[in-house]
Amino acid sequence: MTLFLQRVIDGLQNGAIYSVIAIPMVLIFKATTLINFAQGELAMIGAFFCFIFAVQAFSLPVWVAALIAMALAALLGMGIERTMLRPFDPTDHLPVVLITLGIFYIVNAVAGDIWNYQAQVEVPQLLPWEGTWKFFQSEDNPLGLRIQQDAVAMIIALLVMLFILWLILSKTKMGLAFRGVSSNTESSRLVGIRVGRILSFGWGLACAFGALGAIIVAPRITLQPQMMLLVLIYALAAAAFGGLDSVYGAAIGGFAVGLLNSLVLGYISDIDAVSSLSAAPLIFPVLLLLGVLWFRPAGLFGTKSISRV
Amino acid sequence: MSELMLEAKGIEASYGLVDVLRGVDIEVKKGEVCVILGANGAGKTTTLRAICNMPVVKSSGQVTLDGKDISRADTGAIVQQGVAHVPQGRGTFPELSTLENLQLGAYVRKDSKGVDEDLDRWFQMFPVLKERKDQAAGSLSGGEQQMLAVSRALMSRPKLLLLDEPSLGLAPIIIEDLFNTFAQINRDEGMTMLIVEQNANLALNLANSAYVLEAGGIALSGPAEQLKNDPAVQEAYLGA
Amino acid sequence: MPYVIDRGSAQHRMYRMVGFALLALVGAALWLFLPEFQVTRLNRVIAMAVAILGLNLVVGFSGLLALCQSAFIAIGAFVTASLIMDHSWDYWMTVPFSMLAAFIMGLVLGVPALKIKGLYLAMATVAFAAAFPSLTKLEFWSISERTGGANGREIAAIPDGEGIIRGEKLNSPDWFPFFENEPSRYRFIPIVILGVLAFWMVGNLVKSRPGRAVISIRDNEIGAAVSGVELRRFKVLNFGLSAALGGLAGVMWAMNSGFVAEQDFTFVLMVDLLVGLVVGGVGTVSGAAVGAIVVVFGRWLCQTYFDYSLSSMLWIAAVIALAVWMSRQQPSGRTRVLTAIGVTVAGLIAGLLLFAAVDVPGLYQLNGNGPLSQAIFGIVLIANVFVAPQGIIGAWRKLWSNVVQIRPIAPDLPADAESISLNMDAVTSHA
Repeated sequence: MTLFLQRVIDGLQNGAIYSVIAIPMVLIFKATTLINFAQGELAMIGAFFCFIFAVQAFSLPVWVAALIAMALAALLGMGIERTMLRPFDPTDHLPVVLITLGIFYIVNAVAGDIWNYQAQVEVPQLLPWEGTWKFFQSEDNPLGLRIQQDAVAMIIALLVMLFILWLILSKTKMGLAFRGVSSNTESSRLVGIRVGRILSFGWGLACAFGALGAIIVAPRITLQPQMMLLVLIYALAAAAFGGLDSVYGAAIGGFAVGLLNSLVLGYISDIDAVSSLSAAPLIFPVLLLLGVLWFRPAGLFGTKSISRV
Repeated sequence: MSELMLEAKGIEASYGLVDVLRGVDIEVKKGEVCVILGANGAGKTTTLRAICNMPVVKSSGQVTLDGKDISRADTGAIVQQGVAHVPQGRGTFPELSTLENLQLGAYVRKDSKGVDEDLDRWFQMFPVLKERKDQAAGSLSGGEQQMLAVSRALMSRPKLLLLDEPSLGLAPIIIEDLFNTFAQINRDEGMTMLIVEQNANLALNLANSAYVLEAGGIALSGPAEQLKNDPAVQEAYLGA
Repeated sequence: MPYVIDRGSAQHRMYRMVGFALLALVGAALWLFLPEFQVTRLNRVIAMAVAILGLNLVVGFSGLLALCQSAFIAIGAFVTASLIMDHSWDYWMTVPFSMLAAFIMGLVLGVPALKIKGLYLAMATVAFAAAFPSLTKLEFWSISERTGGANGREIAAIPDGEGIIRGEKLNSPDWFPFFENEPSRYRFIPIVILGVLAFWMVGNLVKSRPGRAVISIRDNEIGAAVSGVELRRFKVLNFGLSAALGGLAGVMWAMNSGFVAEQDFTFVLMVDLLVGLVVGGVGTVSGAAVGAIVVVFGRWLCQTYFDYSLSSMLWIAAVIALAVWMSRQQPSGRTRVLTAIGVTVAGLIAGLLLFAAVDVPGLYQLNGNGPLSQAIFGIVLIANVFVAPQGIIGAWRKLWSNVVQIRPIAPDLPADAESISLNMDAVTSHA
């Protein structure tokens, strides 16, 4: 029983990480119907911006550095959208894939070159909790049920992020315009919305939150240029699972992927014949992603229209 | 002060390599209802899009709104100048609520008190919208969506209302109601309207003046009464 | 001004033969006179070219954004390795079987690929290609033993207990008098034969009726369907064929290096293929070869001479940005490409000289991980979209058409051209 609960807890803890990275992806998709392959790298560089201001070059308090990093990441994202993606018809997919992959490569290479592909030892901690809560310790189960405090902090931070996003999207005029553009771009133009500015806003918002997410999870997944690479596939699966244009779907999708991953891999490794599947853990999110895209492209909460021909 | 609300001269438009409009001139006087008739593919929708300078169509020509030249302005600016366009198929924001749709209609306005007043006004005129104000717009019936679309357009307090095939896909009773509403709005507000329609009968009954578009050019134009009694129009569009 | 040749005429045949002869001459020269270690790279170019050709079939000719070619190469390579080492097969015998394995995998993936649209397909296949290599570590069905797991597997002569030699590196056999100590130069022979066959086959396929059907799908799917082209069948078969070419590339890879490991077939390889595809020219057959040359030798150049740190990277980024910006100022497509190329080359040469002259310690260090080549590839991807979406071949064709132009022959119209009725049977029945 404890094992099951532990797996659930581990799954939720990992799930929070996936949610935090999936949400910005979904924001961009909502605004532009584009999938940004460079999303993870832009978030990563945001985390490094925070590192620069909090540890490497200056010693600002972490939350100040985080805010600066978010602003810089937003500017970077908006710049990329404006100069490289805006000229293209969003229904012409190949240029978008090429450009976002190109940005992925460039950002990753620059980060790798500057910080030498090393994991940084001193990571800015936005959420100060460390340590582990332990329950149900017993003789045959000396470790007991472990809940790690930083994971709980992450989940709380995630909820706060969702709340702020909800406020922005539902209660502000920009947010309403954003949802309008996402719902019907032509009609948005006809009510006077400057669609270009809203797209920039969407990218800026997504990159700012992406950076925030990366800053939050950095202590857990290590702060290094390659940090997002593995997680990206889980985040993609989470985003698809929740529905590519639903922010709440992405959040729930992240937890679902984390949970499923933890439970499935956990129980599979108990079955000798297929235990080695845990040596190829990426297969699970890939299968999930393929499954979602095939059976139900709209995911759990996405609007049906995104699966139309 | 010209008595023309809209003056469009020499409008040419194309989608990619396909030319749709080959030099169209349209005039709409202030306070009047003007109708554009024509068969499918004649270029009626394109005309409205060209007037609004929508990026989907490549258009050129001169367009003046209440004396002001809007030929080069982008769609957002044109809307801010006082044009409201209800596109074909209603153009609602299906995932957003009825209320949010109306709020978006007032996007260009800065006076929140006036916006609230207008909301009440249109809720009074269309009580069913008030009933469904928190419902997703996509779940409304065709007729209700049309009312929503028109109300949304009116929320911006436009000078000129453009309507693209408002009767499309609606039951005859609803269409009758709808056109009565148009007449009422034109009477009470003095709203200038340019309506593109395939339902020539209803349109000509409502309109003050009309144009007939054929293969990208104006074939006929004149007062609505005159066109209604024109045998060519009767044969082609009124099923006489 | 351009010299006009009618397509299909005797002159045209001569023109093409001269072209191929020149190509063969250059190829032979490279084969015989490059140093041995470069011939290894040359072999890799041919393998990549075949892989890119396959990718082109799907992305370029069919318009599907299926980015999992690296997985098919992996299959081809590992099946070959396993057949040779575990079952004592010959390299040549493995070719059809590895290709078949990849083909089947392509068919299996092709069916769901049809259902998934545009960007989602790209997303799914990229994820798949990234995760695929790790499959080699699985233990059931003795997969990790056959693939060598995380360490890879060497295809070599291993004396068995009874003195039986299992597997062989592809070296010059005793009866062949040349290249005894130059394995790569020997391996060039089977590799180039397979490569030429592949290109020849695809070149004919593209001109054939099923080939033109596939292109029609890309250009206008609804129009093609209405004209009777059976979308599904063609798309799936096309996918399978592209995978088979990937498998062939995998066999060639195994032949060339005699060693297969999962680290060679990662997402990085996939992006390399994509870079090669777009740089060469999407939708062109010869573009695959050009793109392969650019990718393989480009990466080598970067990693050997250029892999300095941030300063040189910024220099190159600045050069390319300048090239892009300056070319956008140009009015016509042709001058744009010329400007872009000219500025880039001049800038890079200037950079080389500058960095050689300025010997500041700490200004550059060789970073074995290759961030610079990676950044350059990223920049190339983006620049390609803006400057030369038709790739090198596209630009070349435009330039060359001012010198020699092939004039197509108009199809014969029936005698009474007034009454052309659409005979649906004639349209729907093809091979």
